[in-house]
Formats: sequence, structure tokens, C-alpha cells
Amino acid sequence: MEPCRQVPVAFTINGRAVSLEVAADETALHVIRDRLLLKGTKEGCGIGECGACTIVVDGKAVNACLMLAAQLQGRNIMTVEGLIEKHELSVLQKAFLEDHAVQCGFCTPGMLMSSCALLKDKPRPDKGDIVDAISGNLCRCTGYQQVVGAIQDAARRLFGEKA
Amino acid sequence: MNMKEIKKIGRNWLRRDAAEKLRGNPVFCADLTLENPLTLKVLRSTHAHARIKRIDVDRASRTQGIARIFTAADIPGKNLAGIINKDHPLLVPDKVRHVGDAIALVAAETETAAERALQAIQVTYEDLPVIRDPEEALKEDAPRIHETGNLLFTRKIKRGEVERAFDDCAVVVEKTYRTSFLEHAYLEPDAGAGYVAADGTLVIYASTQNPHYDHGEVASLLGVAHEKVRIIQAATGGGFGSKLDLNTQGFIGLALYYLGRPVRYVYSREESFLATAKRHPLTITIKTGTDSQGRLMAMRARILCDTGAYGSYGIAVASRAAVHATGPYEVPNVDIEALCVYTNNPFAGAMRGFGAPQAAFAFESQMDLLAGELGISPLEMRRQNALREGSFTGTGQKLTASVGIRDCLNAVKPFYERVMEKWRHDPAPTFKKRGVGLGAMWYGIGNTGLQNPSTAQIEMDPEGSVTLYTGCADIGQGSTTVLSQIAGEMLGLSPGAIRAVVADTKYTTDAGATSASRQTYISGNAVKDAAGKLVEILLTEASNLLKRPKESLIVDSGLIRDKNDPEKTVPVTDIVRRAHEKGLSLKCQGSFDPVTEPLDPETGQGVPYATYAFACHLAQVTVDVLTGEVEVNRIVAAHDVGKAINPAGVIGQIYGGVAMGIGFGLMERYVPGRTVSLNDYDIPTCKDMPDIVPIVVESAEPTGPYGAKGVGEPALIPTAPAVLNAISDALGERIYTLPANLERVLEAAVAAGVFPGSHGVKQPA
Amino acid sequence: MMRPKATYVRPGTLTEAVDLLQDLDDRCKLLAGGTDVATELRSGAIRGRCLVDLSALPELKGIHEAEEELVIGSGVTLSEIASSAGVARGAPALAKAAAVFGSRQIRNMATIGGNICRASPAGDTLPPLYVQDAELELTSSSKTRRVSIRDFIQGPGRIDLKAGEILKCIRLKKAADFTMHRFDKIGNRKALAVSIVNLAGLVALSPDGIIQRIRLAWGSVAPTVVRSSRVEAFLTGKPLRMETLDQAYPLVQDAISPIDDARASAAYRRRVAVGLLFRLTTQQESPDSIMDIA
Repeated sequence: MEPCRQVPVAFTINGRAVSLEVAADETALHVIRDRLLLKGTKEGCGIGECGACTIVVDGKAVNACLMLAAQLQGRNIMTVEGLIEKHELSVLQKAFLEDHAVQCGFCTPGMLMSSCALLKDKPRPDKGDIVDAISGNLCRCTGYQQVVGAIQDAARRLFGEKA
Repeated sequence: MNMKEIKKIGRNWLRRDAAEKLRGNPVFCADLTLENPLTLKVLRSTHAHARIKRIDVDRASRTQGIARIFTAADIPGKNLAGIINKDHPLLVPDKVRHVGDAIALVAAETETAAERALQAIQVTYEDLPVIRDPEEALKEDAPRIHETGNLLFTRKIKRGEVERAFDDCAVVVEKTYRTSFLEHAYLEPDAGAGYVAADGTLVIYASTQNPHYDHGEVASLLGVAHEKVRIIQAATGGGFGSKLDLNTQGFIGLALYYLGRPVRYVYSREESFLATAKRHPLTITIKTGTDSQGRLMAMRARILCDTGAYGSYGIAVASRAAVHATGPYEVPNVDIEALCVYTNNPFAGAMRGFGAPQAAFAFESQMDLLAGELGISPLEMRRQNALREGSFTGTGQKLTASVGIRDCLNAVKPFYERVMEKWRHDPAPTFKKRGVGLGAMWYGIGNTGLQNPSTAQIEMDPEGSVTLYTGCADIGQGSTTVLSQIAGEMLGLSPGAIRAVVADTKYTTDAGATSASRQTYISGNAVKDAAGKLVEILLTEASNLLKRPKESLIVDSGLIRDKNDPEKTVPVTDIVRRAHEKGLSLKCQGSFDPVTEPLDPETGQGVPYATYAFACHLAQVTVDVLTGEVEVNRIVAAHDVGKAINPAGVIGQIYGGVAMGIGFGLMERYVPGRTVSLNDYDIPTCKDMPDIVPIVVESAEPTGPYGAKGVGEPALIPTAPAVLNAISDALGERIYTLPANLERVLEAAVAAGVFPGSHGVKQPA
Repeated sequence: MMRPKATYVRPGTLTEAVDLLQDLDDRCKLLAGGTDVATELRSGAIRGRCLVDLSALPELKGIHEAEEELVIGSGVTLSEIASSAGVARGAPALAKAAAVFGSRQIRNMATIGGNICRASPAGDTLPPLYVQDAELELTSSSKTRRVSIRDFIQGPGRIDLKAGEILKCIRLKKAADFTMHRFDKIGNRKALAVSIVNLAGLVALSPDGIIQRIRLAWGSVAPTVVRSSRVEAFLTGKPLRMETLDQAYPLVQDAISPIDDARASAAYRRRVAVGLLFRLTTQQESPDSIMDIA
């Protein structure tokens, strides 16, 4: 085992197996956007302070800008492109649409990924859970209210009324 | 039109652009795929004020992967931009005026190559004295930042006999209020991309609020004909005023002009912080007097706006701050002067509200101070002074309709009375103080005392499909949806069935800037005008065919029918065919320009705006006297928008405005030279948000489309004043400088004597 | 000019890792969650280093709860700490600190070992570790040693980690015999915030309200976390009341040495350091419900 400049990595992203070589200091965000050309994941700050690059790694929301590409090895990644179900918007995406949770839309993919991870972990979240789950996702347009509403709605539609 | 027939207006329509954003489609500039693009980067000044003695790009040009390095000498046209006054070079020729000024543009094969080249460019500076304080800049012997001097603009508003009125006042309060530089912090950092089309046109995609302004400016910088440049607004991830300036567009144009290869320029967040406009910090000294009953009699204000290195929208900010300084109240005697001054700070430009949010902090604090002196409730103080139909404003404008401030105050009243009765006086948790505050505002829709028209086209094709052409940039606020609703209402079509061609200078005409909360009102009217002309043609033809009077015909869902005889119909497509056969054009041009009168340069008298939005917020806060933490528990936000075309969109604007208002009131502050990125500039997170009760008040504006005015900026303006008044109510001590951050709130708590223990009064050694 | 390029290596076991470190010179940079390293790479603070990724080491994972002791692997994430029943029992203040750390996304990656080794004066996990006198287990190819957190952290960004060493785990004596476990953090906003002042406090109260034992640790008020034996001794045996805490004001002021920075002034930090002490007399807050507000 030797330190290398180019690191081979293999992982799955949105159900697809990928193997490629990444630079030692390359971020996961760079690989996703510029190598795999999945442009849904956004760069808003590059330092983990805005959440626009949130992806789901092994079921957990993380900032793709704070993750080294080399750390993708063996992981199961989901980006916003992976939410689509048979070319249709998923229940979560439809809830965002119908509850007016999208304004400029730049934070939206990150918001979706944070809420997707939340709903997998906790199908019947209370408002506090939702607020906590998206408080690492900055939004400058919506004031968050309709986003929280959309996530509550999606949870209801997916898993029924809160027990 | 009978109100019952209105079906598309006042209903929640889904945002037209939301689905593709939810899918993560590549709609933003940074997402666009270009053939073998060059990457652009700018070398920016590290000195705040200096002559440039020499720029040496030789070594940098020879570094690997560099296509070309540009300096001011390479700019073929006029190297000055600016929407109001042209003082901002794309690349500085001889002198830098703030840290971040653009000196050289690098076009490189890769990001890394561009960065290497930036490091290799050598600039020799000769430092000049740096002016950070606008008061200093005004001194006679102050070094000149621009050759024209440091005072960019003065707006005076004089009405009545202020001195005499103050003599007669029973209560007079005079205070000075200060605000900070703010960063817009839209989520999408500025970005642009471009290529040269086969016919030689420079095609530029931009994250922008004003594509037609960009168009003229790029053509002027390059010295080329307008037809040689095409600006296409890409999806724009928020703007809030900063994307009204030329950010990446000029650099992209310059590189395309010389290199002909596709280029892209995506600002890092750090560059976006360093190089784009900020909100003007204002110093407002304001003296307000009332009679013994609490009627406002006189106001004098001196407003100092620090516009930093360049004008940008500074003149508009100073003008608007002056016009709005009275608040939504009748003040018969006013003497207001607003100065807009250059310094070597980052340049300040438009930011949601153009000086009105800063002014509202001052005038709404004054209202509470006066109410306190007079012993009347803050709500009554506002109610009895609020503008009404027939009132004259400080500029001598007589308001004739849609003056909804009283309706807003009345909407908030039951909430206010309930919380004052119970919540405010119920025991708060230990070491916490509760407070309730009001913030009211008015906001003139559109540019101040200037023409600001919008145009639009509606076209019906032979199949009866409708296309809306608008130059109006939707930056996330939802204007495309609103304009489609208006067109749909006129043409009896679902808004979703209308094809929209938006903000592309090749296919659309100028709709003016997406700023000043003007698009629903002004572009909405332009679209309505265009659609109305199309309807007129269709109904004229149908009237001939159906042998029915035109007045009894309506267009609805692809049919033209007689209101009084539902059997009598003809498909729109039949009419369209007839029209085409007759050679009639079914592409109709609409326009609207609100009626204003320029403000007199000496007295400020005139009609700055055709209509005004009004609002009042109620804030409930809990202040922790141990730490200065402020929990905003609830905001009740009543907004007179004239008519909510898309209520969910209006409410979304209110929620977002409240969030930005909380940031402005409590936490946001951009410190030149110190604030670098989002780790040292805090905007509210979801956890910082209160419960929000939005109340939509509809005091219809006769000249508005279906009565609509605007809401984008008004949403933000009352929150900070309401929160500050609530903090003052909680502590019994007022804060005069924004933001009311932890430190200032705790200082106020100490000054008020509510910090517990025996050490509350004196600062520890 | 050629800049040295970064390299990367991810050992699979602790033995592999320490063997590797023995061979590498001091140009290597250890990373666990990677959240700090990624920002340092972006800012250019680190370039051309060998990035040694410890995230695959099973030996750094897991929280082990024994009778009297809690052993937390240095590679445990802050999310895992915040949701661990064992930590909630044995180190509730640490659980609270982990729960308010950064954001959900950061907590899912960032590790407690990384937060300790960063040695930021504002590090949120540090004061809870100080009040429980955490011991750190450091291991290298030649030996394993234990050091108290107070000795390990020497200053901002300065730690007693010798070349070739890895922080393996954190050992805490369970704080079950305390009646109050507090962690309070003051930041400019409620999430994604850096602590301007924080305070971890453990108090054992007698049934009549007398402080039998107390441990206090302040963050962000000095180059390293502050524990003051004088303050703790002064308060011991006295009733937990405002009057008592008020008397400790000068002692707290002596113990801390805050600075002015971009986030707050020293004067603010001085006052809030005591403000948070006063807060010990209150119940941990629960926010008003909507019903209460209306």
C-alpha cells in the first residue's frame, strides 16, 4: 500500500456501478459534477456552509464538497438525479412542487437529499426532526416554511399520518 | 370584466420552472455543457486605493494552458459600465478603488492553469490614501476617489415649514441610526457562459436580473452593434439586487470577442463575496416631532449612503431612502437630504428594498420612541398617522387609491391586542424577557420618478397555441408563472398551456429590470395589454362570423362564445385561420409605463411612483438577558399587494422576506476586508425561523393588472424594525445599530440593568 | 514552478496505518471524516501533503460501554455520538454538544477524533470531554500511551500527537453520579454556528440544593478549554443559587482570557461566560409552543 496521486475508486451512484481514478485532493463534488456530469448537485460555497451539494452516502446526508473523491470507495451514493422514479417525479419531489417549496431552485437538490435521508431514517418525522434535518441547507428565497410543509406532506403521503 | 369570470388570477398556480429544478436538470450557468470551453478568472486588486504603475503579464502569458490575458488596454469599446452612472471599468486602466477591483482577465484551458497564471501576473501599485468613512470622504481635502469628486448624488425633499413646525411640536425625538454592509448571499454564485454562433453573434448565458441592460452594456464595452450580442438569462439562483450589475457578462463578452471559443466563468463563493455589490450601509440622523395628540408634524433627516468604490444603484438607493424616510405616514413638514458618497469600501448597489429597509429601521424606531413619550400605544400611534386616500406624501404626491396601510394595521390589530393582553405579560422563563414590536412600511413600485417601461408580445399560431414573449427575468420569484396567469386569464387558457419565451434578447423585447418589485405591476400590465390586443382581434373576427356584438363574446378554453347564449360558439382555431387568410398578424405588442413625475432636484416634489405597496409586521421575541440571544417567536405579516395573482407565490415572498429581515435585524454584517465566505457571514437557517402568519391584504390598485402591485421587496422591509421594536419592548433599552447581534443585545440588557447579579452594571476589568 | 502534488492512502487496519505512518515523513496529514481537510485543501492551507485516510480502520469505530467507563473510538461520527444510548447514559453533555455541532451533514462525516485533534478553542466536543477528564489513547507502531485531554491539547491547533501516532479512542469515566449534565452553546445563529462561548457543566446536587461536586469547562474564552479548580472549589458546598454564582464572577474572570475576534469581543465573552454559569440555576429550556405564542 503506497500513497498515490491517482486513486482508483469504485462505487455505485444512483444504482449504477462506477470505477474511475480520482486525484488525491479531488472532492466528491468535483467527481459528481465534472467527471460524471451529474449537474443536479450544486456548489454553493465549497466549504460545507450551505448544503447545496448535499448527497446521500450509505443512507446519510453529507456535503459532497467536504468529502474527498477517494472516500467514495465502496460507497452507495445517491444524488438528486437518482430520485426520479420511472421518469416521473418522486412523491417527495411532487410535494415540493405542489407545496411551492421551490423558488430559485438552487438549494432544492440539496434540500431534497437532506429530506430524502431523513425520511429513510425516520418515516414519520415531527417538525423538529425536519427542521434539524434541513438546518444545514441554506435557502435565501423561501424562508423555509414551504419546504418544511412539503416534507411533512411527503411523509404523510409516503407513510401515512404521524402515529 | 366581471370578477366571477376570473379563473386564473388569485389561484395558486404551480411554478413553471420548478419541475426541471426538482429533477436536477442542468439549467444554471455553471451546469451548461460547452464544447471544449476556456475557463475565465480575474485578477483582483489586493489594495483598496492605489495607482497601477505596471501590470506585467509576460510570465503569466507564457504559463502552460493560457489562451490569453486581457487588461484594460484590450477593451475595444467604452470601458465604463453602470446602470445609472457609468463609472465602473470592466478592467481598471490606471487605478484601483477597492479590494476586489478587476485588473486582468485570464482565459485558460483549465481552472488550475488559470489560477497559476493569476499568481504569475505582477502588478505594481502605488498606494493612495484609503477612505473608509463616508463622512471623511465628504471633507474638502479628502483624496478624490473619482475625478468627479466623492459626493456622487444628493436627493433633497423639502415640504412645508420644518423649523416652525418643530417649534410648535409637543414632542420631538432625534436619533441616529446605523446599518451595515450586507451580502446578498443568493445561493447560486454568479456565473456565465458563452459561445460564438455561426453568424458571429456573441451568445452569452448569464445569471442575471436584467438581460436587456446586460445586452446594451456588453455591446458598449466591446464597441459592437447590438445585433452582435445576444444575452440569454439562464436559470438564476436568486439575485436580490446584486445580479442587476454586470458581473461575469462583460468578461465573457471580452473573451468571446477575441478568442471565438466557448468560455465559462463561475465565481467561487469567495469571489462572489469579494467582487459583487453589497447593501449600502446608511447613517440616518432623524428628528421627528408630533403635536400633543401624537400627530406627526415635522421630520428632518440627513441620510448618508456609503456606495463604496462605484455608483451601481447608489443614486437610486439614496433617492429611495429619502422618499421613504417618512414611513407610511402623513408628515406635513419635511426636510430630508440623502447623500450618496464614494469610499474605498466594496461597491454597494441594489439590494432588496434599495435603502427603504434601512430607512424603515429609523422611522419605525422613531414611531415607538414618540409613542413612548406620548404614552400612546405603538399601534394607535401608527393608525392615527397612517396615509389614507387623499393624503399627501413628502414629495407632495396626492394618494388617490390603493392605500392599504390602515388595512394592514387593522389586520395585525387583533393579534397585537391578544399578545399584549396575555403572552407579553405572562411570566417568561427565568432570565428571559418577552417583547412585542410593530414595523410598518410603504414601498413605491418601480423606479423613482423615472420612466421604466416594460414591453411584451403575445403570439397565437395557426393551431391556436399561444406564446408569451417577455424580457422579464424570473430569478426565482415566479414572474414567468404570474405573467402566464395574466395571459391565460385574458385568453381563456390554462397558464401552463402558454409557451413562454423569457429573457432572451434575441426573441424578447425589454421588460426592464427585475427589481423595485416592479414586474408584476409593470410587466404584468404589458402582458395584459398585449393579450388584450390579441383578444380584440379574435373577438372582432368572431363577432363578424357569429353575428353577435363583440361585447357579449368571451374567449374560453379554445372557444369563443356568447356569454348570453352558450350554444353560440366558434373554435378559436377557426378564427385564427380566418385571420391568417386575411393576413392579420396575431403577434401583438403590449407595453406599460407607470405614470410618474420626476422629482424636483431642489425640493424633491413630484410623483416618484404610480403606486405603493404597504405592510405591517408584528414581532414577538424572547430575549435571553444572560447571553443576548433573541428568539423570534412569531411574525404576523400583513401585506397590501393590491391583488395576489398567485397567492402561494405572494406568501412565499413573505416567508422569504421575513427570513431576510431576521438576518438584517439580528445577524448579518459584511465587514470589508474580513468577511470572506459563508463561514463568516451568517444568514438565517431553518432553525432561526419563527412561526409566520402571512396575511394578504388586497387594496386593489386601479392601474394594476387585476389590481396587483408588488411584494418582493416589501416582504423584507418591516421585519427588522418590528424585531428591533420588540427587543426594545423586552429590555426597555433601544438598539440604534444593525444588526442587533448578540453583543449589542447583551450590551442593551446590561444598560437596562436586567443582566442579573451584582456585576451587571460595570464592565469587568 | 511545480507545486508538490497531494497523495492519498487509505490503510485498512490500525496496524497497517501505524506501520505506514512510521515510513512517512511529517508531510502526512491524517484525516478521519475529512471535513476539515477538504476546506484546508480548498483554501490552500494544505497542499502537496500525503493524505492518510483513517476512515476505513475498524479499530477506530464503535462506542463501548463498560460498568464505569465509556470508550469512544476516535473515528465515531458526531451523529453516532448524538444518537448513542451509551453516550446519553454515560456522557449526556457530550451527547448534547454533538447534537448541536455544525449541521446534520457535517455531523454525519465529522468525527470526535477529528474535532479533538483540530484543537480549536471553539471545538464543541472539547468542554464535555474536559469535565469528564477524558483520557485519550494514542497508538503508534512501537507503543500505546494514554494522556489526559488537558495535556493533549496544548493550544489552538497544537496537540501532543507525536510523529507516527494515531488517536485511537477516548476513555471517559461515566458521569452517572452527577445530577445535572449541561452543555450550552452560544453562536450567531442556531445551526451551522461556531461557538462564541460554550460551557459544559456537571453538578451533583444534594436533595436540599447544595453543590456537592461541580465541574465546569468553558470553550472559546481562552486558547484552550478552561477548567478552573478555584471556581469549582469555591462553589462546592454552597447552594446552587444566583447569589453563590454571582460571588464566583471575579474568579471566572480570572480564569478566562478571551480575545476579540470577528465573531465577538472579549468583553462579550467575559460576560457570557458568567451568564452561562447563571443559567445553571434554571431548568434546561424547552421552547414555547405555538399555542403559548398566540
